[in-house]
Amino acid sequence: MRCSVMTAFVLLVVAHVSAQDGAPRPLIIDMHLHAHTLSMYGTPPPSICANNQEILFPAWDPHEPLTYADAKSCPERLKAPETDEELLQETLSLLKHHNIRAVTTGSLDQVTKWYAGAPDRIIRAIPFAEPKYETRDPAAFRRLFAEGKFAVFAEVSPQYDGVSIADPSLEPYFALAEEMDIPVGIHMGEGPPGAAYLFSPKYRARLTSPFLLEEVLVRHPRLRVYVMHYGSPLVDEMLSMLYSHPQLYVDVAGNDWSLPRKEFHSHLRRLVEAGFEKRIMFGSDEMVWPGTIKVAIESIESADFLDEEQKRDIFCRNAARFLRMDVKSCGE
Amino acid sequence: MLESLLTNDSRMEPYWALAESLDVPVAINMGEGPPGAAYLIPTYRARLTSPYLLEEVLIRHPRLRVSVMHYGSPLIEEMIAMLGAYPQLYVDIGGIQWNYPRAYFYKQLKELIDAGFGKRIMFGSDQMNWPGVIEPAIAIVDEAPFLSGDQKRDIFCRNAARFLRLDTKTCD
Repeated sequence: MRCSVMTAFVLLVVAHVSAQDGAPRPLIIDMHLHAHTLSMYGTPPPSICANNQEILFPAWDPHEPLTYADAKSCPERLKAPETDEELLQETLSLLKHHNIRAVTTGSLDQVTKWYAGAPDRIIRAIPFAEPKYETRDPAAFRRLFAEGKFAVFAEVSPQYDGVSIADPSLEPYFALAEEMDIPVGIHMGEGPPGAAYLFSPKYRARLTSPFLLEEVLVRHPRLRVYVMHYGSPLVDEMLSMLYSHPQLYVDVAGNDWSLPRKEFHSHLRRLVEAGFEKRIMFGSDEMVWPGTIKVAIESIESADFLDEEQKRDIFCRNAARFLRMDVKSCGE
Repeated sequence: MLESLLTNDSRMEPYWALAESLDVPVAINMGEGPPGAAYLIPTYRARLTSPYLLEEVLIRHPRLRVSVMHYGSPLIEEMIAMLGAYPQLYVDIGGIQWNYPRAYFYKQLKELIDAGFGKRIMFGSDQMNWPGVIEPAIAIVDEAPFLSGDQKRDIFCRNAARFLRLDTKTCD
Protein backbone atom coordinates (compact mmCIF):
# COMPACT_ATOMS: atom_id res chain seq x y z
CA MET A 1 0.00 0.00 0.00
CA ARG A 2 2.78 2.36 0.85
CA CYS A 3 4.39 1.77 -2.56
CA SER A 4 1.27 2.63 -4.48
CA VAL A 5 0.81 5.75 -2.40
CA MET A 6 4.34 6.81 -3.25
CA THR A 7 3.90 6.14 -6.94
CA ALA A 8 0.72 8.17 -7.01
CA PHE A 9 2.57 10.87 -5.15
CA VAL A 10 5.45 11.11 -7.61
CA LEU A 11 3.11 11.11 -10.60
CA LEU A 12 1.13 13.83 -9.00
CA VAL A 13 4.16 16.05 -8.41
CA VAL A 14 5.37 15.58 -11.97
CA ALA A 15 1.91 16.03 -13.44
CA HIS A 16 1.06 19.18 -11.59
CA VAL A 17 2.23 22.22 -13.46
CA SER A 18 1.55 25.73 -12.29
CA ALA A 19 -0.06 27.98 -14.85
CA GLN A 20 2.46 30.82 -14.70
CA ASP A 21 5.94 29.47 -15.23
CA GLY A 22 5.46 25.88 -16.26
CA ALA A 23 7.38 24.61 -13.21
CA PRO A 24 5.68 22.07 -10.97
CA ARG A 25 4.24 23.59 -7.81
CA PRO A 26 5.88 21.79 -4.89
CA LEU A 27 3.69 19.46 -2.91
CA ILE A 28 2.00 20.65 0.29
CA ILE A 29 0.71 18.16 2.87
CA ASP A 30 -2.25 19.48 4.84
CA MET A 31 -2.45 17.50 8.09
CA HIS A 32 -5.85 18.83 9.02
CA LEU A 33 -8.64 19.24 6.50
CA HIS A 34 -12.28 18.52 7.40
CA ALA A 35 -14.81 16.61 5.32
CA HIS A 36 -17.72 18.38 6.94
CA THR A 37 -21.19 19.46 5.95
CA LEU A 38 -22.64 22.96 6.19
CA SER A 39 -25.40 21.98 8.62
CA MET A 40 -22.79 21.04 11.25
CA TYR A 41 -22.18 24.78 11.66
CA GLY A 42 -25.75 26.06 11.69
CA THR A 43 -28.10 26.95 8.86
CA PRO A 44 -26.56 28.84 7.24
CA PRO A 45 -23.08 28.64 8.80
CA PRO A 46 -21.77 31.92 10.21
CA SER A 47 -19.26 33.93 8.21
CA ILE A 48 -15.78 34.05 9.72
CA CYS A 49 -12.63 36.17 10.08
CA ALA A 50 -9.28 35.17 8.57
CA ASN A 51 -5.96 36.75 9.49
CA ASN A 52 -5.10 38.35 6.15
CA GLN A 53 -6.80 41.28 7.87
CA GLU A 54 -6.94 42.66 11.39
CA ILE A 55 -8.74 40.41 13.88
CA LEU A 56 -10.05 41.64 17.24
CA PHE A 57 -11.87 39.87 20.04
CA PRO A 58 -14.32 42.53 21.19
CA ALA A 59 -15.92 42.37 24.61
CA TRP A 60 -19.29 40.70 24.93
CA ASP A 61 -21.73 42.24 27.36
CA PRO A 62 -23.10 39.13 29.08
CA HIS A 63 -26.55 40.73 29.36
CA GLU A 64 -26.84 40.66 25.56
CA PRO A 65 -27.32 37.46 23.55
CA LEU A 66 -24.01 36.04 22.30
CA THR A 67 -23.44 35.25 18.63
CA TYR A 68 -20.30 33.91 17.01
CA ALA A 69 -19.96 37.14 15.03
CA ASP A 70 -19.92 39.22 18.24
CA ALA A 71 -17.00 37.31 19.66
CA LYS A 72 -14.59 37.98 16.83
CA SER A 73 -14.44 40.98 14.52
CA CYS A 74 -12.69 41.90 11.26
CA PRO A 75 -13.39 44.26 8.36
CA GLU A 76 -14.56 41.58 5.92
CA ARG A 77 -15.84 38.09 6.68
CA LEU A 78 -15.47 34.89 4.65
CA LYS A 79 -18.69 33.13 3.71
CA ALA A 80 -19.38 29.41 3.38
CA PRO A 81 -20.59 28.07 0.01
CA GLU A 82 -24.33 27.49 -0.47
CA THR A 83 -24.38 23.71 -0.76
CA ASP A 84 -22.38 20.71 0.44
CA GLU A 85 -21.63 19.78 -3.17
CA GLU A 86 -20.14 23.25 -3.82
CA LEU A 87 -18.09 22.92 -0.65
CA LEU A 88 -16.67 19.60 -1.84
CA GLN A 89 -15.97 20.71 -5.41
CA GLU A 90 -14.45 24.04 -4.39
CA THR A 91 -12.21 22.35 -1.83
CA LEU A 92 -11.03 19.65 -4.25
CA SER A 93 -10.28 22.26 -6.85
CA LEU A 94 -8.18 24.23 -4.32
CA LEU A 95 -6.28 21.06 -3.39
CA LYS A 96 -5.43 20.64 -7.05
CA HIS A 97 -4.57 24.31 -7.55
CA HIS A 98 -2.14 24.42 -4.61
CA ASN A 99 -0.94 20.83 -5.16
CA ILE A 100 -2.10 19.68 -1.72
CA ARG A 101 -2.54 16.20 -0.30
CA ALA A 102 -4.72 16.41 2.77
CA VAL A 103 -5.30 14.28 5.84
CA THR A 104 -9.07 14.67 5.74
CA THR A 105 -11.12 14.10 8.86
CA GLY A 106 -14.82 13.60 9.43
CA SER A 107 -17.37 10.82 9.79
CA LEU A 108 -16.54 7.63 7.89
CA ASP A 109 -19.32 8.37 5.38
CA GLN A 110 -18.06 11.84 4.62
CA VAL A 111 -14.37 10.97 4.28
CA THR A 112 -15.30 8.00 2.08
CA LYS A 113 -17.29 10.34 -0.15
CA TRP A 114 -14.51 12.92 -0.35
CA TYR A 115 -11.93 10.23 -1.04
CA ALA A 116 -13.99 9.00 -3.98
CA GLY A 117 -13.85 12.54 -5.40
CA ALA A 118 -10.01 12.70 -5.36
CA PRO A 119 -8.27 9.51 -4.18
CA ASP A 120 -4.86 10.96 -5.07
CA ARG A 121 -5.39 13.98 -2.79
CA ILE A 122 -7.43 12.75 0.19
CA ILE A 123 -5.84 10.74 3.02
CA ARG A 124 -8.74 9.41 5.06
CA ALA A 125 -8.90 10.11 8.80
CA ILE A 126 -11.63 9.37 11.34
CA PRO A 127 -11.63 10.11 15.05
CA PHE A 128 -12.20 7.56 17.78
CA ALA A 129 -14.62 8.14 20.67
CA GLU A 130 -16.37 11.04 18.99
CA PRO A 131 -19.98 11.17 20.19
CA LYS A 132 -21.03 13.51 17.40
CA TYR A 133 -20.27 10.75 14.87
CA GLU A 134 -21.18 7.10 15.24
CA THR A 135 -19.42 5.39 18.13
CA ARG A 136 -17.34 2.28 17.45
CA ASP A 137 -15.53 -0.17 19.64
CA PRO A 138 -11.83 -0.84 19.07
CA ALA A 139 -12.57 -4.08 17.19
CA ALA A 140 -14.62 -2.19 14.61
CA PHE A 141 -11.82 0.32 14.08
CA ARG A 142 -9.36 -2.55 13.75
CA ARG A 143 -11.43 -4.06 10.93
CA LEU A 144 -11.87 -0.74 9.14
CA PHE A 145 -8.15 -0.06 9.29
CA ALA A 146 -7.28 -3.56 8.07
CA GLU A 147 -9.69 -3.00 5.14
CA GLY A 148 -7.85 0.23 4.27
CA LYS A 149 -10.86 2.46 4.99
CA PHE A 150 -8.81 5.03 6.87
CA ALA A 151 -5.14 5.82 7.52
CA VAL A 152 -5.11 8.24 10.47
CA PHE A 153 -7.07 8.67 13.69
CA ALA A 154 -8.06 12.36 13.69
CA GLU A 155 -9.39 14.76 14.84
CA VAL A 156 -9.57 13.20 18.27
CA SER A 157 -11.15 15.98 20.34
CA PRO A 158 -12.59 14.89 23.68
CA GLN A 159 -11.99 18.47 24.88
CA TYR A 160 -15.32 19.47 23.34
CA ASP A 161 -17.05 16.89 25.54
CA GLY A 162 -15.28 18.03 28.68
CA VAL A 163 -13.13 14.89 28.71
CA SER A 164 -9.38 14.94 29.27
CA ILE A 165 -7.18 13.23 26.68
CA ALA A 166 -5.82 11.16 29.60
CA ASP A 167 -9.29 9.81 30.46
CA PRO A 168 -9.22 6.01 31.00
CA SER A 169 -12.10 5.57 28.52
CA LEU A 170 -9.71 6.44 25.66
CA GLU A 171 -7.08 3.92 26.69
CA PRO A 172 -8.25 1.00 24.46
CA TYR A 173 -8.09 3.27 21.41
CA PHE A 174 -4.57 4.45 22.14
CA ALA A 175 -3.54 0.83 22.68
CA LEU A 176 -5.04 -0.09 19.29
CA ALA A 177 -3.33 2.85 17.56
CA GLU A 178 -0.01 1.84 19.05
CA GLU A 179 -0.42 -1.81 18.14
CA MET A 180 -1.59 -1.15 14.56
CA ASP A 181 0.83 1.79 14.09
CA ILE A 182 -1.98 4.22 13.24
CA PRO A 183 -0.97 7.89 13.51
CA VAL A 184 -3.17 9.90 15.88
CA GLY A 185 -4.03 13.63 15.65
CA ILE A 186 -5.34 15.16 18.86
CA HIS A 187 -7.09 18.47 19.19
CA MET A 188 -5.39 20.64 21.79
CA GLY A 189 -6.01 24.30 21.30
CA GLU A 190 -8.60 27.03 21.20
CA GLY A 191 -12.15 26.24 20.29
CA PRO A 192 -14.21 29.09 18.86
CA PRO A 193 -14.64 32.09 21.22
CA GLY A 194 -17.50 31.44 23.60
CA ALA A 195 -17.43 27.71 22.71
CA ALA A 196 -19.00 26.60 26.00
CA TYR A 197 -21.89 29.04 25.61
CA LEU A 198 -22.46 28.72 21.87
CA PHE A 199 -21.61 25.24 20.64
CA SER A 200 -20.37 22.74 23.19
CA PRO A 201 -21.61 23.22 26.77
CA LYS A 202 -18.94 20.84 28.07
CA TYR A 203 -16.00 22.47 26.26
CA ARG A 204 -13.34 23.63 28.72
CA ALA A 205 -10.37 25.86 27.90
CA ARG A 206 -8.20 24.21 30.54
CA LEU A 207 -8.36 20.81 28.79
CA THR A 208 -6.05 22.26 26.13
CA SER A 209 -3.06 21.62 28.37
CA PRO A 210 -0.41 19.58 26.46
CA PHE A 211 0.76 18.15 29.80
CA LEU A 212 -2.48 16.10 29.86
CA LEU A 213 -0.97 14.02 27.05
CA GLU A 214 2.11 13.02 28.99
CA GLU A 215 0.90 9.80 30.67
CA VAL A 216 -0.60 8.62 27.35
CA LEU A 217 2.84 8.94 25.74
CA VAL A 218 4.55 7.25 28.65
CA ARG A 219 2.11 4.33 28.55
CA HIS A 220 2.37 4.07 24.74
CA PRO A 221 5.91 4.98 23.75
CA ARG A 222 5.49 3.67 20.19
CA LEU A 223 2.42 5.74 19.45
CA ARG A 224 2.77 8.25 16.59
CA VAL A 225 1.01 11.39 17.78
CA TYR A 226 0.60 14.95 16.60
CA VAL A 227 -0.93 17.74 18.62
CA MET A 228 -3.29 19.64 16.36
CA HIS A 229 -3.09 23.43 16.97
CA TYR A 230 0.15 22.86 19.02
CA GLY A 231 -1.74 23.26 22.30
CA SER A 232 -2.24 26.95 21.49
CA PRO A 233 -1.95 29.28 23.32
CA LEU A 234 0.05 27.15 25.79
CA VAL A 235 3.32 27.31 23.86
CA ASP A 236 5.42 26.95 27.02
CA GLU A 237 3.83 23.60 27.85
CA MET A 238 4.02 22.49 24.22
CA LEU A 239 7.75 23.27 24.06
CA SER A 240 8.28 21.28 27.22
CA MET A 241 6.42 18.28 25.76
CA LEU A 242 8.24 18.47 22.39
CA TYR A 243 11.55 18.54 24.23
CA SER A 244 10.73 15.65 26.58
CA HIS A 245 8.94 13.43 24.03
CA PRO A 246 10.99 13.38 20.82
CA GLN A 247 8.38 11.40 18.85
CA LEU A 248 5.80 14.18 19.20
CA TYR A 249 4.81 16.41 16.27
CA VAL A 250 2.46 19.40 16.07
CA ASP A 251 0.35 21.00 13.37
CA VAL A 252 -0.31 24.71 13.02
CA ALA A 253 -3.77 24.24 11.57
CA GLY A 254 -6.46 26.82 12.15
CA ASN A 255 -4.12 29.04 14.11
CA ASP A 256 -2.53 29.98 10.77
CA TRP A 257 -5.72 31.76 9.67
CA SER A 258 -7.88 32.25 12.76
CA LEU A 259 -5.46 33.84 15.23
CA PRO A 260 -4.28 37.39 14.58
CA ARG A 261 -1.26 36.90 12.32
CA LYS A 262 1.17 38.61 14.70
CA GLU A 263 0.13 36.22 17.44
CA PHE A 264 0.42 33.18 15.18
CA HIS A 265 3.86 34.29 13.97
CA SER A 266 4.98 34.84 17.53
CA HIS A 267 3.94 31.26 18.42
CA LEU A 268 5.53 29.79 15.29
CA ARG A 269 8.74 31.70 15.83
CA ARG A 270 9.05 30.41 19.40
CA LEU A 271 8.56 26.82 18.24
CA VAL A 272 11.21 27.25 15.52
CA GLU A 273 13.70 29.15 17.70
CA ALA A 274 13.43 26.43 20.35
CA GLY A 275 14.73 23.99 17.73
CA PHE A 276 11.57 22.15 16.67
CA GLU A 277 11.43 23.06 12.97
CA LYS A 278 11.51 19.35 12.03
CA ARG A 279 8.39 18.64 14.10
CA ILE A 280 5.98 21.32 12.86
CA MET A 281 3.48 20.40 10.15
CA PHE A 282 1.24 22.54 8.01
CA GLY A 283 -2.52 22.20 8.28
CA SER A 284 -5.47 24.29 7.17
CA ASP A 285 -8.22 23.17 9.56
CA GLU A 286 -10.53 24.10 6.69
CA MET A 287 -14.09 23.33 7.78
CA VAL A 288 -16.73 24.95 5.55
CA TRP A 289 -14.91 28.09 4.40
CA PRO A 290 -12.57 27.04 1.56
CA GLY A 291 -11.08 30.56 1.39
CA THR A 292 -9.15 29.78 4.56
CA ILE A 293 -6.77 27.43 2.71
CA LYS A 294 -5.07 30.23 0.80
CA VAL A 295 -4.78 32.39 3.94
CA ALA A 296 -3.26 29.47 5.88
CA ILE A 297 -0.59 29.00 3.19
CA GLU A 298 0.12 32.75 3.09
CA SER A 299 0.62 32.77 6.86
CA ILE A 300 3.59 30.41 6.50
CA GLU A 301 4.89 32.06 3.29
CA SER A 302 4.84 35.50 4.93
CA ALA A 303 6.78 34.44 8.06
CA ASP A 304 9.96 36.47 7.48
CA PHE A 305 11.85 34.56 10.20
CA LEU A 306 11.62 31.29 8.24
CA ASP A 307 14.06 30.40 5.46
CA GLU A 308 12.99 28.41 2.38
CA GLU A 309 14.24 25.12 3.83
CA GLN A 310 12.21 25.60 6.99
CA LYS A 311 9.12 26.43 4.95
CA ARG A 312 9.52 23.24 2.90
CA ASP A 313 9.93 21.25 6.12
CA ILE A 314 6.69 22.70 7.48
CA PHE A 315 4.74 22.48 4.22
CA CYS A 316 5.75 18.95 3.32
CA ARG A 317 8.82 17.10 4.58
CA ASN A 318 7.89 16.88 8.26
CA ALA A 319 4.45 15.49 7.47
CA ALA A 320 5.89 13.05 4.91
CA ARG A 321 8.30 11.76 7.56
CA PHE A 322 5.56 11.55 10.20
CA LEU A 323 3.21 9.70 7.83
CA ARG A 324 6.07 7.44 6.58
CA MET A 325 5.75 8.62 3.02
CA ASP A 326 8.74 9.13 0.78
CA VAL A 327 10.15 12.55 1.65
CA LYS A 328 11.32 12.81 -1.99
CA SER A 329 7.68 13.19 -2.95
CA CYS A 330 7.93 16.67 -1.49
CA GLY A 331 9.58 17.52 -4.75
CA GLU A 332 13.18 18.33 -3.84
CA MET B 1 -6.81 25.99 60.85
CA LEU B 2 -5.87 28.42 58.12
CA GLU B 3 -6.44 27.30 54.57
CA SER B 4 -6.25 28.80 51.12
CA LEU B 5 -9.49 29.72 49.40
CA LEU B 6 -9.76 28.93 45.70
CA THR B 7 -11.70 31.11 43.31
CA ASN B 8 -13.91 28.13 42.49
CA ASP B 9 -14.39 27.13 46.15
CA SER B 10 -18.01 26.36 47.02
CA ARG B 11 -17.87 28.90 49.86
CA MET B 12 -17.47 31.64 47.22
CA GLU B 13 -20.54 30.46 45.32
CA PRO B 14 -23.21 32.60 47.10
CA TYR B 15 -21.19 35.72 46.36
CA TRP B 16 -20.82 34.92 42.66
CA ALA B 17 -24.56 34.23 42.53
CA LEU B 18 -25.32 37.55 44.24
CA ALA B 19 -23.02 39.50 41.92
CA GLU B 20 -24.65 37.88 38.90
CA SER B 21 -28.21 38.51 40.06
CA LEU B 22 -27.58 42.14 41.08
CA ASP B 23 -25.31 42.75 38.07
CA VAL B 24 -22.42 43.95 40.24
CA PRO B 25 -19.09 43.89 38.39
CA VAL B 26 -16.46 41.73 40.10
CA ALA B 27 -12.70 42.25 39.98
CA ILE B 28 -10.64 39.37 41.26
CA ASN B 29 -6.94 39.23 42.17
CA MET B 30 -5.09 36.72 40.03
CA GLY B 31 -1.43 37.53 39.92
CA GLU B 32 1.64 37.84 42.05
CA GLY B 33 1.44 38.88 45.66
CA PRO B 34 4.52 40.51 47.16
CA PRO B 35 7.74 38.44 47.09
CA GLY B 36 7.70 36.04 50.04
CA ALA B 37 3.94 36.51 50.41
CA ALA B 38 3.36 33.05 51.91
CA TYR B 39 5.65 33.97 54.81
CA LEU B 40 3.75 37.19 55.47
CA ILE B 41 0.23 35.92 54.67
CA PRO B 42 0.32 32.20 55.52
CA THR B 43 -2.56 31.15 53.22
CA TYR B 44 -1.20 32.83 50.07
CA ARG B 45 -0.24 30.34 47.33
CA ALA B 46 1.40 31.30 44.03
CA ARG B 47 -0.41 28.53 42.14
CA LEU B 48 -3.83 29.96 42.97
CA THR B 49 -3.03 32.63 40.38
CA SER B 50 -4.07 30.22 37.61
CA PRO B 51 -6.77 31.90 35.45
CA TYR B 52 -8.19 28.42 34.81
CA LEU B 53 -9.55 28.45 38.38
CA LEU B 54 -12.09 30.95 37.16
CA GLU B 55 -13.45 28.69 34.42
CA GLU B 56 -16.20 26.84 36.30
CA VAL B 57 -17.35 30.13 37.86
CA LEU B 58 -17.89 31.57 34.38
CA ILE B 59 -19.70 28.42 33.28
CA ARG B 60 -22.04 28.51 36.30
CA HIS B 61 -22.57 32.27 36.01
CA PRO B 62 -22.51 33.25 32.34
CA ARG B 63 -23.96 36.72 33.02
CA LEU B 64 -21.35 37.68 35.57
CA ARG B 65 -19.21 40.70 34.63
CA VAL B 66 -15.67 39.82 35.69
CA SER B 67 -12.26 41.43 35.42
CA VAL B 68 -9.04 39.61 36.29
CA MET B 69 -6.84 42.05 38.17
CA HIS B 70 -3.12 41.71 37.21
CA TYR B 71 -4.21 39.56 34.19
CA GLY B 72 -3.16 36.34 35.92
CA SER B 73 0.47 37.51 35.68
CA PRO B 74 2.80 35.85 34.88
CA LEU B 75 0.53 33.12 33.42
CA ILE B 76 -0.11 35.05 30.26
CA GLU B 77 -0.80 31.99 28.10
CA GLU B 78 -3.56 30.71 30.39
CA MET B 79 -4.97 34.22 30.51
CA ILE B 80 -5.07 34.40 26.71
CA ALA B 81 -6.76 30.99 26.60
CA MET B 82 -9.43 32.26 29.00
CA LEU B 83 -9.92 35.60 27.20
CA GLY B 84 -10.37 33.65 23.97
CA ALA B 85 -12.84 31.16 25.37
CA TYR B 86 -14.85 33.63 27.50
CA PRO B 87 -15.65 36.77 25.51
CA GLN B 88 -17.15 38.59 28.51
CA LEU B 89 -13.87 38.53 30.46
CA TYR B 90 -11.73 41.65 30.98
CA VAL B 91 -8.32 42.14 32.61
CA ASP B 92 -6.58 45.00 34.36
CA ILE B 93 -2.85 45.70 34.38
CA GLY B 94 -2.84 47.18 37.88
CA GLY B 95 0.56 47.16 39.51
CA ILE B 96 2.29 44.84 37.07
CA GLN B 97 3.47 47.82 35.00
CA TRP B 98 5.45 49.36 37.87
CA ASN B 99 6.30 46.23 39.92
CA TYR B 100 8.23 44.47 37.19
CA PRO B 101 11.10 45.62 34.98
CA ARG B 102 9.53 47.60 32.14
CA ALA B 103 10.78 45.40 29.27
CA TYR B 104 9.15 42.38 30.86
CA PHE B 105 5.80 44.12 31.32
CA TYR B 106 5.89 45.44 27.74
CA LYS B 107 6.43 41.93 26.40
CA GLN B 108 3.30 40.69 28.19
CA LEU B 109 1.18 43.70 27.23
CA LYS B 110 2.27 43.35 23.60
CA GLU B 111 1.31 39.69 23.67
CA LEU B 112 -2.19 40.53 24.89
CA ILE B 113 -2.49 43.18 22.17
CA ASP B 114 -1.07 40.99 19.38
CA ALA B 115 -3.46 38.23 20.41
CA GLY B 116 -6.35 40.58 19.61
CA PHE B 117 -7.46 41.61 23.10
CA GLY B 118 -6.92 45.38 22.86
CA LYS B 119 -10.60 45.96 23.74
CA ARG B 120 -10.44 43.91 26.95
CA ILE B 121 -7.47 45.47 28.80
CA MET B 122 -8.10 48.12 31.46
CA PHE B 123 -5.72 50.51 33.17
CA GLY B 124 -5.18 50.23 36.90
CA SER B 125 -2.53 51.65 39.21
CA ASP B 126 -2.76 49.23 42.16
CA GLN B 127 -1.86 52.22 44.33
CA MET B 128 -1.78 51.14 47.96
CA ASN B 129 0.23 53.35 50.32
CA TRP B 130 2.52 55.00 47.78
CA PRO B 131 0.72 57.70 45.78
CA GLY B 132 3.93 58.21 43.84
CA VAL B 133 3.28 55.07 41.80
CA ILE B 134 0.28 56.57 40.00
CA GLU B 135 2.30 58.78 37.67
CA PRO B 136 4.77 56.07 36.62
CA ALA B 137 1.84 53.65 36.20
CA ILE B 138 0.36 56.06 33.62
CA ALA B 139 3.67 56.96 31.96
CA ILE B 140 4.68 53.34 31.40
CA VAL B 141 1.53 52.67 29.35
CA ASP B 142 1.79 56.03 27.59
CA GLU B 143 5.36 55.30 26.52
CA ALA B 144 4.74 51.75 25.22
CA PRO B 145 6.23 52.00 21.72
CA PHE B 146 3.95 49.34 20.21
CA LEU B 147 0.62 50.95 21.21
CA SER B 148 -1.26 53.31 18.88
CA GLY B 149 -2.98 56.40 20.29
CA ASP B 150 -6.30 54.65 19.87
CA GLN B 151 -5.15 51.55 21.75
CA LYS B 152 -3.92 53.74 24.61
CA ARG B 153 -7.30 55.48 24.86
CA ASP B 154 -8.98 52.06 24.93
CA ILE B 155 -6.75 50.92 27.80
CA PHE B 156 -6.87 54.20 29.74
CA CYS B 157 -10.59 54.73 29.48
CA ARG B 158 -12.92 53.27 26.87
CA ASN B 159 -12.61 49.61 27.84
CA ALA B 160 -13.30 50.34 31.50
CA ALA B 161 -16.20 52.64 30.60
CA ARG B 162 -17.75 49.81 28.57
CA PHE B 163 -17.12 47.25 31.32
CA LEU B 164 -18.62 49.54 33.99
CA ARG B 165 -21.47 50.65 31.67
CA LEU B 166 -20.40 54.30 31.83
CA ASP B 167 -20.86 56.50 28.79
CA THR B 168 -17.77 55.87 26.65
CA LYS B 169 -18.12 59.43 25.26
CA THR B 170 -16.72 60.67 28.57
CA CYS B 171 -13.40 59.17 27.45
CA ASP B 172 -12.82 61.34 24.36
